[in-house]
Amino acid sequence: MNIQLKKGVLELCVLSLLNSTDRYGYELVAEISKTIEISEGTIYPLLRRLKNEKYVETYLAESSEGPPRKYYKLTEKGEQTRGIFLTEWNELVAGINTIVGGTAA
Amino acid sequence: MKKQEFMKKLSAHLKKMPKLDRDDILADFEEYFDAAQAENENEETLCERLGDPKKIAKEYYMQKYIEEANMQKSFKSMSRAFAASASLGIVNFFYVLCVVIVGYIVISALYIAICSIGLGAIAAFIAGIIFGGMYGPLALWLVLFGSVALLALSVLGFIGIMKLAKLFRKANMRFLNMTRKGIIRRKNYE
Repeated sequence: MNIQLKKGVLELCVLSLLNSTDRYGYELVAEISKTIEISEGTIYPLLRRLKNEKYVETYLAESSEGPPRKYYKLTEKGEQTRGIFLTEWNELVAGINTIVGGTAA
Repeated sequence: MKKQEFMKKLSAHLKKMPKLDRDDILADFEEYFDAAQAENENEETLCERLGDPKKIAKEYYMQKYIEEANMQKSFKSMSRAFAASASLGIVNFFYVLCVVIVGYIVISALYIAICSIGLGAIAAFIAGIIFGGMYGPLALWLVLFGSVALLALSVLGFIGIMKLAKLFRKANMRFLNMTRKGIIRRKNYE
């Protein structure tokens, strides 16, 4: 898939995955690359940006297997942004489908 | 590629990052390896999954530059809006020059006035303690009570002026934003 196209939707994917539960970095990355083919390393810069823009917060929590892990948690701002993105995404998909499906006037 | 090699390369490519940021980023990747290896993934597969360290570092740099540019842009657009609002027309020019400058002078004058009243009240209180006894107890209590009341009033006045100044600043900001939007709109029509 086109890399620029992927980058745009990746943000929505991360925010959506964090909507239900807090997750640590590897968990997020593994979950995304299960369904989207991507260099996993590029998700970390995105996570950092989301944190800088206050869409997510991080905290450390103990793990049963080794050192504590950095967990990502959606902020209120992130939750609102997720809603906006989702609406925009749905509108975009609907619009594109109309065009590529040939049903546009 | 093994983990150690990956980390070394990533660290080298991030050397222009502030040390705190670099350490933070490297810790994220350390954690990635730790967590993945706890699930029995092998190092070489993981390095492949992560991708090129140089590309990853580039992402971080790009992000940093964009953040810096955004900060500059908002500052620039702010000062530009101020300058533009003065050159937009005589009404705005009048507003910027007179209202802003006169407004700040008035607010400063109010501050000075209220501070003098407060200081005067304190002086009256001290004078009352020292000299009030000479004119009998009634005069003493009158002066003390009066000066304390005056001081309390001036404190209230001070708070009021602070509120007024804040309101004035807000109004200015709102005007500025309105003007800025006006500029954008004008551009669209042109």
